[in-house]
Amino acid sequence: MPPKSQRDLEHDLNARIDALHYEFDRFEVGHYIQHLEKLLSRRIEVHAFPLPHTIYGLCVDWKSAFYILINRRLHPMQQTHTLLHETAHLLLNHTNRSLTGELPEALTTLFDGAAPRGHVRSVAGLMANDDEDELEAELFVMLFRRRLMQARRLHELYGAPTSIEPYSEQFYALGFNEGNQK
Amino acid sequence: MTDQQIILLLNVILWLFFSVRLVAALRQGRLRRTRSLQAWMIIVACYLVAALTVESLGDRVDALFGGQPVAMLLRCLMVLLTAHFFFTGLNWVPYTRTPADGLFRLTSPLVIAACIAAYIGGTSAWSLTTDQTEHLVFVIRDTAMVVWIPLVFFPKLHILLAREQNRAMQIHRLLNLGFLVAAWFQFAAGVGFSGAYLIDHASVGFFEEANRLTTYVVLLFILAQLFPARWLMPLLFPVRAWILLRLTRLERHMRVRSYTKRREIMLQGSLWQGDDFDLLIYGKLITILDMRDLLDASATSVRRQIADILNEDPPHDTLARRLAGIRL
Repeated sequence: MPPKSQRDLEHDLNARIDALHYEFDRFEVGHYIQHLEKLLSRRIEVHAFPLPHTIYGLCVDWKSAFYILINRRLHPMQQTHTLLHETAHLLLNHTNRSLTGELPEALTTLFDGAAPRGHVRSVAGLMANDDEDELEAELFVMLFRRRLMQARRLHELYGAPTSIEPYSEQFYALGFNEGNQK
Repeated sequence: MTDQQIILLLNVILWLFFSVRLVAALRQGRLRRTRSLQAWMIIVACYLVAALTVESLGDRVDALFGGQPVAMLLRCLMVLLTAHFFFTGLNWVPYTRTPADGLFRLTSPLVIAACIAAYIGGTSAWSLTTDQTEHLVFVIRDTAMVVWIPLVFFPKLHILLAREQNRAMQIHRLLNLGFLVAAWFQFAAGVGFSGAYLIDHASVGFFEEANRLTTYVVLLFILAQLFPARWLMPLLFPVRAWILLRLTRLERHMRVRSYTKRREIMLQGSLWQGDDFDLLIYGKLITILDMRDLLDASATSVRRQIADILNEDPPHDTLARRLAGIRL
C-alpha cells in the first residue's frame, strides 16, 4: 500500500482526536489520562523517572495496564509532549515492539524481568528517523496541541479576562472579554 | 490644528468610545457589583480629567462659580482621587503591596490638603494672579505624581504583568505601564512648566511644548484602557513572528551541529492563523529541546546557554522568549 499523503494522515488523525470527545479547555495531564482510562477501559500509569539522557520517555504495555515512563530530567513542556506522544501509540493502536536492549537494567526489573514491549521516544529514534509509528505519534501530538492552542485562545478571548482572579470582576465589568457572560 | 482643537478632537473620540463601551456593558448587565462600579469609576475619573483639559469646557465650569478657576482645582483633585482609586485597585492582591505603600498613604491626603490650601490662599489671601495660583497648585500635584508613579504604581503594575497568564491581559498591563510612563513624562513636564512659570520664565516654552505633546500621548493611552481583548491579541503577531524567526535560526544552527536526522513535523495550515503560528513556535521549541543532547563539540556555547535557561524551569512563553534571545 502506498504511504498516505500528509493531508490524508492529518485528516485521519484529526478524526481520531475528534473521537476522543475531549474538552480541550480543561486539559491538564491528570484529567486527560483519566479521560483516556475511561474511554479505553484501561488502566494507565504515568511515572516520572530520572531516565538516561538518551531516553525522553517510553510506554510499556504490560499485563492489564499501560505504563508511561517520562524522563524527569526534561523540561515540563517536553515531559508533557513525550506523554502525549506515548498516549498516541496507545490511541493509534501501534504495534508494540520489543524494548529489550533499549531500556536500562533498572527499568527492566520493574517488569519482573519480562521482556517489555512498547515504544520508546529516544535520541536513537531521532537519529534514525525511519520509524513511521514514531512520526505518526509526533504528528498526533502536534494536532492535539493545535486543539489546545485553539482552546487557550478562545479561553483568553471569551473565558476569564485575567488569570489573577480578584481582577476578573473588574475587567468583566469593563467588557474586556466581550463574549463572556457571567 | 491648534493644541486645543487636537485635545477637543481626542476628547470627542474618547467620549464616543466610552459611551459605546458603557452602553454595551449596561446592556450585558456587567455593572452589578461593587468592584464593577469601582472599575468604571476609575475610568470615568480619567475621562473627566481628560475632559477638563479642554479649555472652553473649563471656562464654562469657571463661569458657574463666578469666574473662579474651579475647573483647574477639580482637574487637580480628580487626578489625585484617580490615583487613590488606582492605588486601592492595585492592592486587591497581597503580593502587590510594597513598603512604598506607607509613603503613598501618608502623603496622599497631605498633597490633597496642600493643593486645596494653595488654591484658597492663591485665590483669596495671597496676592497671586489666577495663572500663578494654577501653577502653584499644579506644581504640588505634579511633584507628588512624579514621585508616586515610579515608587508606588509602576512596581505594582509590573508585578501584575509578571504574574499574568492571559496574553491579552498581558498586553493590557503593558498598555497600563505605557500609560504610566507617558503620564510620568507629562507630570515631569508639568513640574518644569509650572516651576519655570513661577520662578524662571525663560524656559517656560520648552516645558510647555513637552507638556502639550505628552498630553496627547496620555489621552491615547486613556483611550486604550477600554480596548477589548480581541483588539489586543493581534498586537502579539509581531512579537510571535520575531520569536519564530529567532527560534528557526537557532534550530538551523543546532541542526547542522547535531547528529540528528530529525524530520520536522509541519502541519497543513496557515501562518495567518494565530494558533498555527503558536504551533510552529511550539514545534521549534520541542525540536530544540530534543536536539540539545545531540549537539557536537562545536555547539558548546549554545548548549550551555540552553542549559542555563532550562535550569530556571521557565513556563512555555518565557522559555520561547529566552531561547529566542540566545546568541549564536
